[in-house]
Amino acid sequence: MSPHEIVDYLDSCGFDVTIDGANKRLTVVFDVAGVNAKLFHLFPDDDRLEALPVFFFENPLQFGHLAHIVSNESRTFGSVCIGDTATISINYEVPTLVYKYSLNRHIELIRRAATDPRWNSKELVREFTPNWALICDSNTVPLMYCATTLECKGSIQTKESVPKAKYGLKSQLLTLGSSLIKDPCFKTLRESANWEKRPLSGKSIMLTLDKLDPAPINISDLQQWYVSTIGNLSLGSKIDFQNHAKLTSRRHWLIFNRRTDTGVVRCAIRLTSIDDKKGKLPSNINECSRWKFDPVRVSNLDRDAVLPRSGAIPLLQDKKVLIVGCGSVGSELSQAVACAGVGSIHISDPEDFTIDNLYRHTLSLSHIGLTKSGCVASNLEQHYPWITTTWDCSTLQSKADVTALKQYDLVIVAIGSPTLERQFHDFVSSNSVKTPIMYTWLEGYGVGGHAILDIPPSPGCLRCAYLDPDTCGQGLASNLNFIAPDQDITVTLAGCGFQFIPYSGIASKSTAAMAADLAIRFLDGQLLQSSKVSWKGSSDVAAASELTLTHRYHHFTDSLVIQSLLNSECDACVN
Amino acid sequence: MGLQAHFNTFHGKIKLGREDDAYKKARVRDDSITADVKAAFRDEGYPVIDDFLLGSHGNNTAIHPLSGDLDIDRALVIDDSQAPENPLDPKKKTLSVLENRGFKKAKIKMPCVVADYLSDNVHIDFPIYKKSGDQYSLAVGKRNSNEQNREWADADPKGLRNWVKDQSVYYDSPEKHQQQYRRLVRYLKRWRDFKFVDPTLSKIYSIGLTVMAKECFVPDLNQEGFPNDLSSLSKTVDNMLNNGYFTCIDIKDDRHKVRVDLPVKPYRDIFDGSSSGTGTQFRNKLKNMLTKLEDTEELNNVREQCKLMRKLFGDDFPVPDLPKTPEGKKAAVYSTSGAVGTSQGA
Repeated sequence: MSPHEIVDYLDSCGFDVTIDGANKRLTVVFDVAGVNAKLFHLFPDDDRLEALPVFFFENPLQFGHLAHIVSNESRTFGSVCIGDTATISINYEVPTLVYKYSLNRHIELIRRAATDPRWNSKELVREFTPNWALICDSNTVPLMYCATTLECKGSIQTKESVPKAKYGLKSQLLTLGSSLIKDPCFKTLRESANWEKRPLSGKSIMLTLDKLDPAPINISDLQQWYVSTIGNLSLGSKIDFQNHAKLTSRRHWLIFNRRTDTGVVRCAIRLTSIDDKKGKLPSNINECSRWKFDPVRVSNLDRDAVLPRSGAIPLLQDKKVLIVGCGSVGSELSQAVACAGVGSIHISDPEDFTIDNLYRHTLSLSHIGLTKSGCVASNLEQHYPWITTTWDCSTLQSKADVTALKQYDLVIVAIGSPTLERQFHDFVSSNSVKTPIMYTWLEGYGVGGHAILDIPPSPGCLRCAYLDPDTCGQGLASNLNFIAPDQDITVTLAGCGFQFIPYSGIASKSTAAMAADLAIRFLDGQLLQSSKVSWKGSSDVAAASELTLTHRYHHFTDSLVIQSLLNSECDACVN
Repeated sequence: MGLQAHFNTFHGKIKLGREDDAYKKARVRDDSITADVKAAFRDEGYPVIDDFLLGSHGNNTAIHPLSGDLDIDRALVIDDSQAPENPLDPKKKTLSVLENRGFKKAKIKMPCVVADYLSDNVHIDFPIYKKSGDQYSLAVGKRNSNEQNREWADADPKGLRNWVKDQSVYYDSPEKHQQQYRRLVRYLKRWRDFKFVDPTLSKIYSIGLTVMAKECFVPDLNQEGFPNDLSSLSKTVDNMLNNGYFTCIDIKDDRHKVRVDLPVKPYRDIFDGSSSGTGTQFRNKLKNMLTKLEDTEELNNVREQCKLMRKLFGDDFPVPDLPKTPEGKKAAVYSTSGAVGTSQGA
């Protein structure tokens, strides 16, 4: 790659470009609404292009505070953020094109920010958090984790980290809204963070903003930013501020909240009394002088922030799911349903955890001999702060209760017993139970797994998946299966004396993930019709065991494709 | 219930299998006569070295006749080295066994010796073969045929049966495909019995339908292995009409002759000697059948579909009653197994 070649090419494309400084510095002059602006680029020492070339914006404040531009301390130039360059695949074999592409992106962004104030303002709010982080010093004030709800109405407590704690939430600064301090739903988080043992730090207040000024470019601008912000408070927030301002302390924490289209923007300022005397919150620039202002990065621990950021769906919070069967598939399924954001899960399984399933279960050695349902429920609560779990040791048969089933949005059956499942379906069907029921199972030898979802009153039911293809009558084995029935499929390990269907943890995870996806799509309102879905694996292991596979196995090409459950030959569904 | 379930019911009614009383009775007669013929052949110095079923029972495509007799074709095979030169000798011996057993109307026909059990509506044909290595020869000739009209003719009785039963032509699920093919043959036979009358009826040979259906067979099984016999039959019949079996001999009157060659030795035309009247009727009725099948495919209502099928196959095709309750009906057909091992786990 030759700098001159780049310059010549850009020049031929109409850019006003020069090179100087022993061919190290490329300067481009361009027009922004009739005003000249400059970008410069420093050519790397080696020829290798591994990412989009970076251009710096000279005199970055000439058009005011522009979004996506981070100025240096002296404000002589600014970095331009044109997106996540790591995900961009560049044409490094033709560097001239790469330079042109990058230059165009830089210029387009600057022009837009400078000439579209509405967009610029929106973008400034959107990138507030990373810009705020630039003026924070984690050595001075560490990252603050903050959780609150609307019910807190600004009343919060900030506590320092647990003494000598080096990792986990215990080692972090934590702020909780007043209602969460006693909320049972937050118990796991409080216990994990050791809330009770933490020392309280100063006085704290959360203020909701109607208007959020862009983050200060330098820390020296922080006090001005603070004064401007509290000067623009809405009436409600102003009253909160004034009430809090009556309190005295050597330390005050102010957490600012601004709701945007893409979520809540949150930042904080710690005020520490310089003379170590208690004082009230400053309300003007003069009163700020007795306080040391430290900007604080805030990590939002609100449910509505954490769930979507980590891929869960907040709207599932009020859904209630019963999972019957906590074996290999059921335990993974519980995990998958919980991590999707379902707020309430009841788990039923009569058995204890044994070592037989150690490598294909979510439970571990420490759970051997304990009830599976209780342990899985406990694990879920440890992991997911906003989940409520209950459990029992009962069987599917005992769930045949119309009133009890009504309380659930979905019942998932993962017991791997076709007889009991069919009987349960008979009960559900003859009692016109309205609760949707999902049945899921896997097959041994890694050939696949299945899930069916019966959503009354839409046509399609468990019986559709049990019709015998040869007679079109009721069958005893599912017509979704890939291994033909009535074969010797169980194996025995030398000395263990028990027969089992061989399958791996991958098979149970795959089945659970697929079933969970079906369940979540239903709970999220995307799925309205009774459906079925299967995944198909390799036949190698089954073939080596000389097992016969079904017609469906040989013809099935729709792994993970959700299909209608209805079979036109089903008497129960088609009149 | 969907339409396939009704096809299954219809098939169950028309199928004549080994478990059926009518067949069992016929086999008792057949076994008894065969034992006597074997004894007689043994005494003559040409013992029977093999015997097997041919025809519908050999191909497992037999149906209950609408009227007339139940047919059994029992091949008797003697060794070429012991076989008499005159092919009529073993046929006459067979006839004498039959006459000794009281069959007044036992007859020697060109390809075989026939016996009718009038009281049981059973008709048994005995074609007689000699075998040299893998080569079969059929005893051809009537009782008084002279040398020019009698012979040991090249034949391949097992070859035809094997050809019909051959499943290697199916890419996968051969048993399911073969089952559907056999059902189609039975449907076609019942259609023939219902739609044709003599003398044309007896000229639409079952073996002709069997070969045509095999050569033109279009299976229809969905991903789960559920067959769709209506669709398969429709496509197969469409193929039969367009596979070159029918040759137009009179454009003005749309008259046709039919020719279907045996796929094995002696490769003769199955319909050799049949008239253009037979060919024309056969073709026209097949076209009519195809129209009805296609019309049925267009319908959404199972009851209406069944009514149309009854027009093709007769009253043995069930027509369901109008539904009485809108919901909550259980499937009417239960599994016949007490239990089944599955691969389902969790």
